[in-house]
Amino acid sequence: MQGRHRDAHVHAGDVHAPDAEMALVLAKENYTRRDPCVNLWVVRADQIHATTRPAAEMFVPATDKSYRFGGSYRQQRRVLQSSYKASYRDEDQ
Amino acid sequence: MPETTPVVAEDPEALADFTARVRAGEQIEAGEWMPEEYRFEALRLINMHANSEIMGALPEREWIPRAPSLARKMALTAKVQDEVGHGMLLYRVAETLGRSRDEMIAELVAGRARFHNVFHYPAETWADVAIIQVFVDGAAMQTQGALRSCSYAPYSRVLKRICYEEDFHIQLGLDVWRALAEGTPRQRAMLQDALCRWWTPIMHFFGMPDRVSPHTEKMLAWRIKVKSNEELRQQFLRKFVPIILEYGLDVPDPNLRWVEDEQRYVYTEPDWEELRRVGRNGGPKSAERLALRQRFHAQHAWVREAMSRWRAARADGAVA
Amino acid sequence: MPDARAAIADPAVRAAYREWLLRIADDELVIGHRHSEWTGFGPDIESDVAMSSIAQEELGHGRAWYEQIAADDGGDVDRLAFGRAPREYRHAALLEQENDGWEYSIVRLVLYEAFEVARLRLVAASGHEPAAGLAQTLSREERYHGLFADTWLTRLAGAPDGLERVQAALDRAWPDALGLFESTAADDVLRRAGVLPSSPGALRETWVDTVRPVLEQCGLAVPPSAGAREGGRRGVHTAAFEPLLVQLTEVWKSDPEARW
Repeated sequence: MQGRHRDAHVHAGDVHAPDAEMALVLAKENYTRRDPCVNLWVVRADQIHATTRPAAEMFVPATDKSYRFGGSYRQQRRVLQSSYKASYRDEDQ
Repeated sequence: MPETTPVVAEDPEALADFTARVRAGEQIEAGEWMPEEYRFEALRLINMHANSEIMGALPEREWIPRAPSLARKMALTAKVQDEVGHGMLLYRVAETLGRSRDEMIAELVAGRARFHNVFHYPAETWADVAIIQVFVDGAAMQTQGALRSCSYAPYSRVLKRICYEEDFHIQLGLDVWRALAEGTPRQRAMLQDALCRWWTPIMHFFGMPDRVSPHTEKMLAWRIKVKSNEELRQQFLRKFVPIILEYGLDVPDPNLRWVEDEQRYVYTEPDWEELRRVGRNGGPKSAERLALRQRFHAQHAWVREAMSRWRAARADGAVA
Repeated sequence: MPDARAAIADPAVRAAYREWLLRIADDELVIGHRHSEWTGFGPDIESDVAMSSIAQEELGHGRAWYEQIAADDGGDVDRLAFGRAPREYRHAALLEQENDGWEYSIVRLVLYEAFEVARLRLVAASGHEPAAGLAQTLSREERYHGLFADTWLTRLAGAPDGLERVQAALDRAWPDALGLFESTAADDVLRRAGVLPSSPGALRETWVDTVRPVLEQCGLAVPPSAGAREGGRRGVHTAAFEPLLVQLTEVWKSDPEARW
């Protein structure tokens, strides 16, 4: 379900239904009675492809990947140039 | 479903790994390896919880047609709707442990499954609505609140939503409670009467004090059980006895008192035989409520059949 | 069109207008009550939940209309909803009939929602506030009710023995549904005063144009247009209403002065 326009859809739950059309009709009252919603998707449970549970391991980095994050550069700057004023990048955010 | 735990020789390494993960506070996802005994116990717990939501809709729904104002009528309908919705969510979780919803419902309707003791009792007056919403839901909240940290992730997730909604039910119930407690003498008397009738079932709700047994230990270690029955009962009494006293109503147990040294309530030991009887679907309303369920289940057999044919036709591509 | 507000200054028109709003409110209350009886007993859990929402919304619509009437009367909403004699209720027979099977409730929902949408459009078009604004707002929720009803109707009628069952339900509901359009002296007063832009007769044509294709696409035969069961708009109800009213008002009547 999508809470507001422009938000990404997030998984809310599942329903038993004879087809997609009915699933949408039923999902509305079963999952959006209290939470705001502007749009729903349904997909058959057997059409979802997932990685396996043990595969969770492959998502965990084994080496330092901080070079991928802006924050680590700001940190380095702060260390190297103590006079460096609060980063303009921080102000952007 | 069988009443006894299956005896399965598990792979010792997998079992040790599983136990270690659970002990470390990890949660198990649907589809992951789990010991048969764990699956069995988790399924038993969740299946009974689902049954209880579905059967729990019945006592309160009797008062939907008779709710005494439009606002109460809408709120009560919404409240019972939530319980039915909880049943839906919980059967889905139970399905991830290997039983189909149709099978579980058929078993419930046939009277071969169990549901919580409190839903075997009558809801005689409008005041029962207040008692159910405050005390029965309040009791359920203690158990379910604790189980949010259980080891089965799909159950834990669903319990978060359920507890959120139960909190609304308690607030709603307190509003009905307040209106009656601060109302006419007749309304107050109605409330006191309902409280007296519900006291024993509510004390029963948490079950007998746990025996120290290897089984209980295992359930606690696997976090299918999080707190002991007595702990939950005490937790409930600490929260809800003050509400009774605040409104000047009588606690239906003359022996109930707070023992400061032990930081606990002492109370009259309820008749546990009654709980056993009720648990076996031998309560005052068990047969009547099951008969109602059977009636509608039979009435809707053709609808279920129609839907499954529709589903099959769709899957074949026979219907565009 | 003469100014609606000016017209309402006339006590006779004002009374007729109250009568008209009361029909809407009573229709919604009574159908909401019937729908709410499904809570806990739907044919599947998901639909049970959905039907319950529809019940709550119809009751909510009833309350909103009672509020408008009560604001004019200076009365209390619950007294208006619960405190009248059976002959003082103005809903049509269709809404008070018992839930005779899921298929009956679905057929009734299909027929009633098509009517309700057309009626709300009429009220919204009247330009007479605050009713017009309320009608506009409420139509948002009716849209889902219609969608739910049509989705279920198609699937029930699509089953091998379903068509026969749904047809029987439709035949049963049809004369009562025609009674929705019953017109009384109040309608004439309102039309002459220009409070409503068209007649119940015109509403009926719109309604038939809406429901006919829905029913026919399901393979259902639309019953004859004669034989409307009228009386509801004049306070004459079928045997189904009294037990409903007794139950609806049981607790409230045990002490109407009390706060519940």
